[in-house]
Amino acid sequence: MTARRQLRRLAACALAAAVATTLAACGGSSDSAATTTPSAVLGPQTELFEGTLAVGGSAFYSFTVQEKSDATVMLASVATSTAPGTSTNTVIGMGIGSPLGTECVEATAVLAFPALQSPLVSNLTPGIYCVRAYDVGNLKSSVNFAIRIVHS
Amino acid sequence: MLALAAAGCGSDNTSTTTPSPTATAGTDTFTATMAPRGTAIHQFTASAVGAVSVTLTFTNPPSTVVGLGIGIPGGNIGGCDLTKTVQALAGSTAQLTATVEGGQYCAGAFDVGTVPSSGVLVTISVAHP
Repeated sequence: MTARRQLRRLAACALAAAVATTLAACGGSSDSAATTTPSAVLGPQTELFEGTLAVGGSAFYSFTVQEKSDATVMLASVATSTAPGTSTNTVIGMGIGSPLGTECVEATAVLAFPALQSPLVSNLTPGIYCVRAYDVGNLKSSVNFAIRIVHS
Repeated sequence: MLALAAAGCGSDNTSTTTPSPTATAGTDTFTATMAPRGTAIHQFTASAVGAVSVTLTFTNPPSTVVGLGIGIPGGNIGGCDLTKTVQALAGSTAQLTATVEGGQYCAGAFDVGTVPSSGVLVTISVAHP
């Protein structure tokens, strides 16, 4: 084997090792000694969908489900500002569905008031989904909201 | 190629992997000095569905009215998106209760315009499932 060929093989191995290291970092583990198992059970993911809802407005958030499981959606907060003490019991609409273009097409929807329990539960197969929050005519001014989504 | 691999991570700042549930029911008590317009927030994990009771047990100066709130960790002031709030004086009976499901929550106090410039010392107990 020529020296040039050996050098080329060495470079290829180094590049492969670097790529493997980079990809392993996607798993979020900070333990460099741990091995990455691609088929590992991912467990539940918690996502926070925060935003501002205008009078008559709507907003949605997309997320990816990787394992078949129930997804729970909790309207945790509706407030007239980000300051503490401005929470309200205002009912808004909340739905879960699939993104289509720039829209979220709901499959299931509920009227929800802020609480620390999830009024919306949907059994989802792997894929991309969205949660949509919208005014149902109750808003007199814009509000800040926080929605917790737990899925696998 | 490395840049491509790194870009493929597509990390989402708002997504976290929930660790295996190791929380247990109990009562967390914390004390903090709250500044004017400040907050004193504590995070806790509920292990199951159940009732959470938040009790403001002590303030110094005494008889200081403060806001009490419960919610989920988030981006609002104090790092807590509040669901329910009340104004309260210190006492031995829970001033704020809520039903929760298993997961991470936050509770604590906030100034409602009554905290003196020297601050107020608050002690709060959070009993959770």
